[in-house]
Amino acid sequence: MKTSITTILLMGIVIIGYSQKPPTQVLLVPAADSSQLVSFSLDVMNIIDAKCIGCHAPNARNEKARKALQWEKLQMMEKMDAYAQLDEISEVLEEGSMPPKRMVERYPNMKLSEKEIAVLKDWVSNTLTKIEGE
Amino acid sequence: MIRKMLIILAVGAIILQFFRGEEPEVAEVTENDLILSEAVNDDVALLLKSACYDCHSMQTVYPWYSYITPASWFVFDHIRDGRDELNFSEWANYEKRRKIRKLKEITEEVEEKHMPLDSYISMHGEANLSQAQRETIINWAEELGQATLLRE
Repeated sequence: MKTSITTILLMGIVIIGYSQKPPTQVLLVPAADSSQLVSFSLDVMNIIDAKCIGCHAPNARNEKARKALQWEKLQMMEKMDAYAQLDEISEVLEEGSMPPKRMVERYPNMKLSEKEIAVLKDWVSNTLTKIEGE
Repeated sequence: MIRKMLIILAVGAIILQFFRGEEPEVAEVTENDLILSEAVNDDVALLLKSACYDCHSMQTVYPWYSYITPASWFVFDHIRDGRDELNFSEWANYEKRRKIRKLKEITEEVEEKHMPLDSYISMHGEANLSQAQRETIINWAEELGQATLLRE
């Protein structure tokens, strides 16, 4: 219960702060649909929704962020592009450079916790393994 | 009046030379190098060495102007940033996914003419890649990317 209230509050902050438009309807495919190369468990979806999707979505304001990564596009990428994108994601997780410093300074709640980083890293390596197996 | 200013400028320029900055190290080619470890063909290897290796490898050749401050600051920054972003001397040590990503970025940067840097090209005629040369690099990078993906 507590987690979902926090998630909603964080989403609210991100949405208000970064978009006057209605929130992105992002279709993140749950892991159960294994026909997808890239899919997300509920854990991972919650983190992405709370801390990433505000800038990394098609109608986000920040152009640099839009160009660098869009979560919903990740699901539709070809193998090689997905591979490259996942490598970049793993690098920023390693360096702790996302969400960006300025964002985290303004909204300390947006900082990724150790646990969240671990969950995302796991997801990256599992997805890479899955892609390899294809 | 003007003479006085010129003297001050000259003295300033001389003092500045004591602050050239730390030159990024240069090292010998090792077996981790891209060209060696991926058996890159001669045509492509020549292009890479002419247009890329100064900033994206440990085999930097320092030009005369890099011995003059403040030009040295910019040159050293380019080299440090370039090696950080992509270092062909460390290619064999890159994980498969890093290689794939970097090859993809090479095609993008070369296609969009972001690389080599304009400032580098202005001082290095051999880095002024023609469209055909750019396409050679891009095709090579795409092929190598595909091949790498299929590897273990």
